[in-house]
Order: sequence, then C-alpha cells, then structure tokens
Amino acid sequence: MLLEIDNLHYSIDGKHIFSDFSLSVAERGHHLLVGPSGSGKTTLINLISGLLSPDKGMVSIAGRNIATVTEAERDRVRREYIGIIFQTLRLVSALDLSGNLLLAQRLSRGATDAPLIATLLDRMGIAHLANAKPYQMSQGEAQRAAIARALATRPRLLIADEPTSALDALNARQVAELLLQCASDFGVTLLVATHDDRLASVFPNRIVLAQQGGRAD
Amino acid sequence: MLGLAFAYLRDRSLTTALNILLLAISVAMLVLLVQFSSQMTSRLERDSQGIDLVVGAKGSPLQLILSSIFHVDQPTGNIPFDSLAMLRRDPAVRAAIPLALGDNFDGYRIVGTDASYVSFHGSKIDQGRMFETPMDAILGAAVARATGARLGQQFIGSHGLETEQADGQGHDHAPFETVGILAPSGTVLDRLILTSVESVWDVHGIDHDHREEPQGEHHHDHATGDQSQTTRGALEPELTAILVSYRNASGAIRIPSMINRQTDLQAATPAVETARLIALFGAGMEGARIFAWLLAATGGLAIFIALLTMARSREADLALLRVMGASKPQVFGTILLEGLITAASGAIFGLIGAHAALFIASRSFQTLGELGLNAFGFLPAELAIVGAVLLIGVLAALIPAALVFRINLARTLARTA
Repeated sequence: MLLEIDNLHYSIDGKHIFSDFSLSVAERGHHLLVGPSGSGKTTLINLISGLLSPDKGMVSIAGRNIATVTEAERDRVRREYIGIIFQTLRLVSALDLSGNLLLAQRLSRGATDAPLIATLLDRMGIAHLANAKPYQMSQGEAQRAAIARALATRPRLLIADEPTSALDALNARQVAELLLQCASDFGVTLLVATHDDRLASVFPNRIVLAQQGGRAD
Repeated sequence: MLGLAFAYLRDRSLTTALNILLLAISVAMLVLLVQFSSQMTSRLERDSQGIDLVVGAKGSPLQLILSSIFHVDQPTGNIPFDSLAMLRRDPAVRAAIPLALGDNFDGYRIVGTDASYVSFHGSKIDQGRMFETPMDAILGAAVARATGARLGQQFIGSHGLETEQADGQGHDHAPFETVGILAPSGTVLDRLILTSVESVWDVHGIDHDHREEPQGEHHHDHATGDQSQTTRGALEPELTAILVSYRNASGAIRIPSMINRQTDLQAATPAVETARLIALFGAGMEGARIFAWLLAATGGLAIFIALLTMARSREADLALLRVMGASKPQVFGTILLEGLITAASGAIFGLIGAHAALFIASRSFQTLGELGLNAFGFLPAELAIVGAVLLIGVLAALIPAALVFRINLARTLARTA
C-alpha cells in the first residue's frame, strides 16, 4: 500500500473531524474522495500531505508514518512522494510556467529535468505558455499548468483538492480525464477530493466521506 | 532560491528600483563625503608637510595658505623681494622658498621659485634637467601628461592663474622652454610649472638685473646694485609669498610676530589654517553625513515596508512554496535574500555613482582637478559603508522573513484554495 491510514483521530476546537478513520490506497490506484462540504475532504488531504498532524493514529506514506515525525521530516516526505493540486492556488506568481516547473523539480529532487518539463507542457497542451506568467493564463490553462507542476517532480502520490470546481463543465471533464490519463501514463497513485458530481462517472473508485469516518467503495 | 528572490524583485520592479535608488543615493553621498574628507585632509597634510610658515601680503591668512601651498585660490598680493633675504638671514630659519605667481599655461599655474622648492617636496627630475637660466621651465608630471609637452618644446604663458581668468594676453615676447619634467610625487608639484623667479619678472617686463642676490639664492648672473636703481620705471621686483621652514622651535615663537609687525607682510601658519579649514569643512560634512545616514535608514524602512507588504499579500505564494517542498529556512532565506539583493544593488550603484561623480567633478571643476581629486581610489571606509547598508537590508528583511515561521499552511491554503 502506498497510503495507509489507521485509527486516525483529528479534531478542531474540540469538534471531531475524524474518529478512528482508516483507509488504504494501493500503488497506482485512482480514487475519488467525495463528500459534502464540511465532511473533511480538505482536512484529510492536509493530514495525508503532512500539512496537519493527527491527534492520534497513523498516516503512512510508502511505509513512512508521518504522524509521528518532525515537521522537517514531513516536509521531506511531501517533497519526495507527493504532488498536490489546489483549486485556485496553482503556481508561484513571480515565476513563469517553466520557472514554476523548474523550481518544483529543484525543490523536490535538487535537480531539473527539462525534457520532462517539455513533455508535460506538450501533453497538457500548454507548451506555448512556457514563458507566460500565471496571470496571463485562463482558468483551464492554469489548472493544466498546476497538474504539470505537480507531475514535474515525479511524485508517487498525486493529490488534487477540488481541481475542477472553478471550471466550466467542459473544462472540468477535460481536466479530470487529463488527470486520470496522466496518472496512468506516469504510474502515479491519484487521489482527487471533490464535491463535484460531474467527476463520478470518470473515476473508477470512490471514497465517500460522511461527517465522520469514511469508507471505500 | 536566489533565482526566486530575483524573480520576486523583478515582479515588483518599480518598488525595487525605488528602494535601490534610495540606498544608492545614500551610499553615493556617504562615499563622496568619505572620499572628499579623506582626500582633502591627506592632500592638505601632504602639501603643507614641512612648511611651518607662509609669509605673504596682508589679507586673509587662509587665502594666503590656499594660494601659496595648495595653489587653489588667488594670492593676497605681492611682497617686497627683500623679505626673502631678511628671512634667510634669520638663524631660526632653515629654509625660505620664494614663490612668484601670476601666469598659467593651459590652466596650470606657472610658479617662479628656486630649486629648493622641488627638493622640499621630495620630488625629483624624471626627464631633462632643473631650470637654470631665465625662461627655462620644468613641468609637473600631471601637467606633462595632460598637455603632452616634451623636452625642448616652447610654450607661452597667459596672464592670470586659471584658464578662465586669463585675459587672453599671451606673453608672446617671452616663451618658456621645457627643460625638465618632474617625476610624479603625489604633491601639488604634479600640477605646477616651475621656473625661476627671474623668468616671471622677465615675462612681466620687470627689471631685476641690478638687484642684490639674496643670501643662498641661485647663481643667476645678476649685476649687483641698489634696489631703487630699477631701469624700467615703477615695476619693482616682488614675490607673491615665501614658504618658511624653521630650524628650531624658537622660530615659531619669534618669527610670526616679527613678520606681522611689518606693515606690508603677514605670517600665516599652515597647521592653524588647515585645521581651521578642516573644522569648517567638517561641520558641513557632518551635517551631510547625518542626512546621508537618514537617507540610508529611509531606504531600509522602504525595504522593510515593501517586504512586509509582500510577505502578507503573498502569503498564499509562500504557502505554495512550502507545499512544493521548500523548507521554512529556504522560504525565510528567499525573503532575506530579497532584502540583501536590494541593499547590495543600492550599495553597488551608489559606489559606482560616487566614483563616477568624483571623476566627472574632477574633470568639470578646475579647482577639484587642481586639488588632484582621485576618482578611482578605494578607501576602507567605503567597505564599512557597504557593510552597514547590507546590514540595513538584512535587518529590514528580518521581520517580514520571520512571518514565514508563523504561516499556518493548512489555514492559509484553506483560505486561498
């Protein structure tokens, strides 16, 4: 298992978000994490990516329990294993698209891989925007750029938090299909959190979050 | 992260440029003050070294010092030639060097004196020989370089001490011949043309053939005679000033008062006048120095505000960097680098600007050129200024950079996602 969560407890201001929550995601699996607003999708993503620490339980990435390590170690695991795509926060504003991808690679691997960047930009259909700043891109282009940025570090786990909610139906479907296709092609485990019902038909596996806990379909 | 810091600075280029400009102006001002102060002081000390007293016409003692030692002001007037003999006869006087001014060539002063003036400044002949007969002239190293003059060439002096003052009347009837060129000495001699006192008299049609040779004076072939027996009427041989060096301390007590008692003469002490000049100069410099440091502090404040605003408005960007794998120290360092790069750019531009201004000033203003202002000398104090400005940049960036440690990633991402 690439991702294993066991007996997870997490609360905010005394309110239990997760109690004894468990989840297993196999390597190269593609999952849709669905649930209503407030069900804890983003919190779960933050716990998996080490941006939050659980109150109790285990969150293991590639066999490494990040629930009990230091912040620096969580940073390292995130850097080496995880790529994250957000709804609107996609790229570093001061850098152009190429610069963003190069920076991501440098931060993650300590080295750059220009051919991979060229491949990704070509694959996302945004090669012509290599020198464009984020503010010069449309919503759809920026989201494709964010996917390219996340994949540029060759992560083993790609997490997307509401990647399509800011897009129209056509762009949403294209981005979802692109995510799935790229995850397959690059051999990446994909976990997409959304409340967008339009994606349900695209993804083979669903993890449904209720108010507390969850289960895999 | 260096590239990222540059990218952030480029991203807000106008603010960055203004901050750099503020620091550059303050650095340039401070460097100019340090350079002026240092070069002026060392120049004053070097040129007045060994001269205990200057004897000249009544007037401003500071003007007398400036015109006779540093050759940057107008003389106070002329003094009787006999004064030289009187001083040379005094047992407390080790050396008395005559100076006769009045003309220039291409803006460089022609100074009538004797050979002891050259040896007194520790200079020596580099090419040719010392002036011996009337209308022989030796050129200071800077004069020879600037005019391209060579040995054997003749030139005609113009009346007046500076090019602007020259009345357009060249002394065509009495051309000088370059018989020697001095080695560079780093003193005022570099910028002077030296000749005998008799040459200056000859140029101005002053008869001196019947004058008594002062004791110890050079061996120009003059007929002895009564001073009053001048053959060309009212023009009496005179000097502009006499530089005096004491043999012993008693001279310092007795000679100035003796000179000042005479109606035509005044004695000015270089040490006193240069100290007064430096003090006058220093008061103005101090005010300018305080202003420059205030400007530097304003530059630091501007960097602080710019980085603080940036850190707050780009909290999401900084959070994204952390998500992308940048450690807290890396993001902290990026902001710190922005402050440092801004300060370093200001320091570099300020240094270049100050030295360029010195170069232009030394070329544009004759007085500064005559003072031998060196535009390309680098002083240790400049390094201290650069260090202080870099420190200001780092300190200004410290608090904005520290905000990185307070960013709650999950909350920031939830707010912006």
